[in-house]
Amino acid sequence: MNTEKIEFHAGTVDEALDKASARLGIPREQLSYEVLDPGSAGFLGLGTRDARILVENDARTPDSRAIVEEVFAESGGETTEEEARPSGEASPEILKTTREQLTRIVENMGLTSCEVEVYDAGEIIAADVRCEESGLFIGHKGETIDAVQYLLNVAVYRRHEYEKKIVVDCEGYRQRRIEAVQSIAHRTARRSIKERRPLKLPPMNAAERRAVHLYLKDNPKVTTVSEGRDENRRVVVKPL
Amino acid sequence: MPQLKRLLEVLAQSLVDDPDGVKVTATELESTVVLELRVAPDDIGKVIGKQGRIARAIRTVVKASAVRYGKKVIVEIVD
Repeated sequence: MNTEKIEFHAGTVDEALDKASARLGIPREQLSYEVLDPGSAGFLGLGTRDARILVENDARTPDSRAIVEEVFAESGGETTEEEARPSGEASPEILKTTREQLTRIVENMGLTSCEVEVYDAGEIIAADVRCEESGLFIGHKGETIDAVQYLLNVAVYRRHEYEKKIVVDCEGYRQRRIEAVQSIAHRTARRSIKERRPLKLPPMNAAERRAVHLYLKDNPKVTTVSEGRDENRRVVVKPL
Repeated sequence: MPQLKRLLEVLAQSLVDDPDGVKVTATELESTVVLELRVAPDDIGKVIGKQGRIARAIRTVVKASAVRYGKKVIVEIVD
């Protein structure tokens, strides 16, 4: 029997079990699983960590491969650096598939003179795109580059066992965005302290929210939490 | 708009178990292109995703590309 093990992330072990049960179509009581990380609610908004469980799926539901999507939906949010836990080098096959797949996407998007470079960057697999029309590839608030990145991760990890997150970048966009997000976080924190009330940041993706949490965790005068769902998920900065 | 049709095929094929089951038909009305995506019945979930997340990402990428050609595009997933 081909037994597959799938990792689920959620706020608590309990929620992760619910999710696994729903996704695999196996009643909760019948799940055989191992707790990889019980998670942590954190303290004053720091060190929040998702619970992670590893579930055996011997049924091998036809949809089980789509699990990657689930893992991505939940990871990288309010988790700590430990979240990715990449062990060692990414395999050459994964780098090759990533390179081929991303090249096929950018070529077919009709972007002119694109170059794709894919390499193991330690925590992540970096997939850098150089092209003349970088604005078009990145899109409004990065929505296009984020969509490409998401599809690429799903496509690559359908064929290979999960190793580490593939991050698509273009002309240093990710770093610029992080800096912009930190600047917003800094100003919002200051205003929140001054006005003595919680302030909401604009909706952001998981990586950006994480950047905000990390940036403000050293500020003893505020705490941060995320609220809202999906596209509307955003960080709230609260004065202490 | 063969380029947009091809892009949608490429994206869908990368996500499904049965790439040969991916069929895209394109209808063009003035500057709007309507793309209808069909996949093998078992693969439908793989192009839609949980809460439509994959479908949304596909639409975002195809739309971005359409801008390049000065077109509007509608992607419909037919089941």
